[in-house]
Amino acid sequence: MVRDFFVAALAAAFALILLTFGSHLPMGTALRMGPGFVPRAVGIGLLVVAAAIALRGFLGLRRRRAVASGEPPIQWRGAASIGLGVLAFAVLIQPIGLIASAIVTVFVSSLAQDGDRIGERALLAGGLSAVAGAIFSLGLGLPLPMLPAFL
Amino acid sequence: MWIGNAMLLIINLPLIAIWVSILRIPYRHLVPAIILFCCIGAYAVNNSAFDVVVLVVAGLFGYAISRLGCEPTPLLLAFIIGPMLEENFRRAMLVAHGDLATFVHKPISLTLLLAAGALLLLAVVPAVQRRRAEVFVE
Amino acid sequence: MELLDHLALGFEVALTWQNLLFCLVGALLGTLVGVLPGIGPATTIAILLPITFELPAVGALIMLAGIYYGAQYGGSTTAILVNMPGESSGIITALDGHQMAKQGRAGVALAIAAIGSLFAGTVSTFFIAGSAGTLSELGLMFGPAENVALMVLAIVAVMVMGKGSVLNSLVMVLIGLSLGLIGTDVETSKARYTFGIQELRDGIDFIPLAMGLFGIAEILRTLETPGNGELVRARITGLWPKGADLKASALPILRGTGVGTVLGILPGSGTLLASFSAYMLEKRISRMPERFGKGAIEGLAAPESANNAAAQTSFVPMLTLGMPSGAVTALMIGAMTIHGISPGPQVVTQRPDLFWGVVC
Repeated sequence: MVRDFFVAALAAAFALILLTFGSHLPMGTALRMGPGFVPRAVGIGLLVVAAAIALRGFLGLRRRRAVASGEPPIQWRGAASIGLGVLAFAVLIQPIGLIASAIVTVFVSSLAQDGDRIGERALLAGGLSAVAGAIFSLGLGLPLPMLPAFL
Repeated sequence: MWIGNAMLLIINLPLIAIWVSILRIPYRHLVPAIILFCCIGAYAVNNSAFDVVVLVVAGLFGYAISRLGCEPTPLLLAFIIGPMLEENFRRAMLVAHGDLATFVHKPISLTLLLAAGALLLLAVVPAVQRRRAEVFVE
Repeated sequence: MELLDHLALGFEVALTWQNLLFCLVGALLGTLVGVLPGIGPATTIAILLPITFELPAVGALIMLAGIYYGAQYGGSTTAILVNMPGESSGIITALDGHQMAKQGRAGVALAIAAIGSLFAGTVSTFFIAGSAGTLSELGLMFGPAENVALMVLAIVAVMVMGKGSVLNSLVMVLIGLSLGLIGTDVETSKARYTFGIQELRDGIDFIPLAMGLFGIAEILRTLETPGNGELVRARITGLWPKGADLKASALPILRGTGVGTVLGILPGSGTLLASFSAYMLEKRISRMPERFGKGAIEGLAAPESANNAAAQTSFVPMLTLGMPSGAVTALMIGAMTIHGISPGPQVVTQRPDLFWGVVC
């Protein structure tokens, strides 16, 4: 299965990061383990499992070449709009405050699905932002920046 | 726990109508609301925008691994146990003067490890694998 | 009677008006989020975790427990009404529950699910109260080596019991361990894998990680099938079950509770194994097994009770040994550490208010 190669690659990538960026950490002795002991163990473990999964992938490929997967297509659009929506919140919350960044986040993440016109999405964004402001700041009293910092 | 359960029965039977009306809200309006809630929640814990970045990376990563046929539960469990595991391992080594055999010399530890080994073996036995597959198909 | 003293302490803690309020709010919010299609208990807890952050430890855990039952209950509601279970054990509920709803018996189905859950909850609470002392005494004999072995067992159990391939789960475990390494090493205060980023010095925060892995990822999965979560066709009439319904489900509830209580303790098994086993048991001993899958009330009552009993007894290893047995209890352990409680057998003796308060 092709999926196996992706999983193997993922494991190998984590292993390489662990081993490369952890090479300066002292191993210590078995009696007094240093901070580098566990990272190396995990890294080597990941390499071994990656090899095993890649092997399984090869065997699986040979057995049945074309497997019609029953999986629905990947939600690129959902991932992109929700990802961007959340990212926008991360970037905007400190400079422009909760109200404005909530509008952006809701609007962008609503683009994940069909069914609304632009105006309806904007309305949803405004409404949810107001509700969120009311609940979190007024209701729960969380110390969130509400308005843009420059106001 | 018991009080919570009793409460649920009392409050929820009359409230079923409300839950049903929530189910009538179109999903396209619920999703942005949940996302916004997650953003605010992640930010508010430490007042840190970095945590919101962690949220989005974890979300996309979680989606990717689930498309690859992996589950997030073992990852989260290992993330939480990991630091405790390392600390206890270091301490065990210190107590046992660096002798790995300590894990098999102590009866409780040996029993637990044997149980873990047996579970692993079970999962690899083909018959059980087929049975597992059946369960999840149903 | 030590047990009665403990339960009295627990009720004393749990019945203060703040804790009752936390429990109520938790149960309501849990149901509210859990009722959303495709969102299971683990996701619900992950999404709602930040709310409990500001509360005192006991209140936070009580609220989280409330959220958990609420989410379970909300999940059954969705499974019955929309045939869209939020978690794997809801699939079993949906088998007969949704059929009942289609036959216009949604109200009865929901009521039986709730009654079965309450009964199972009552039995398993006593079970936890009875077993906690012994288990935590055993736990107090644990040294670092035993702890390591127990953690290994917990991780292996989650790997084996989960769905999907064991190798894939092993990769997930190792990646989880790697992510846990990020931050400052406790013993040598050396920074590991922080890549010079200030925020990573204290490690990755557990709340956004859980919210992302469960919440956002789950939403994206639900989006894959368009039209998901938008069909409610069942009409609810007659909420109260008739005498015959109650009679038919009494024994299945009893059996389901037994099955769930026992299977819930096993680490990693979660609630799916419990509700599946209870369902199969009913089907096997039934005189008319062909009714199952077509709205048999036993096929709803037994797995729902088993599900709830298992959900409760899965707290046993967490509360007595500090060992999470699945996603939900892992989230609770995370919440405990945030509140400065190091989970483990000492919790029962050092924080009896917390332990018994949560149990009651």
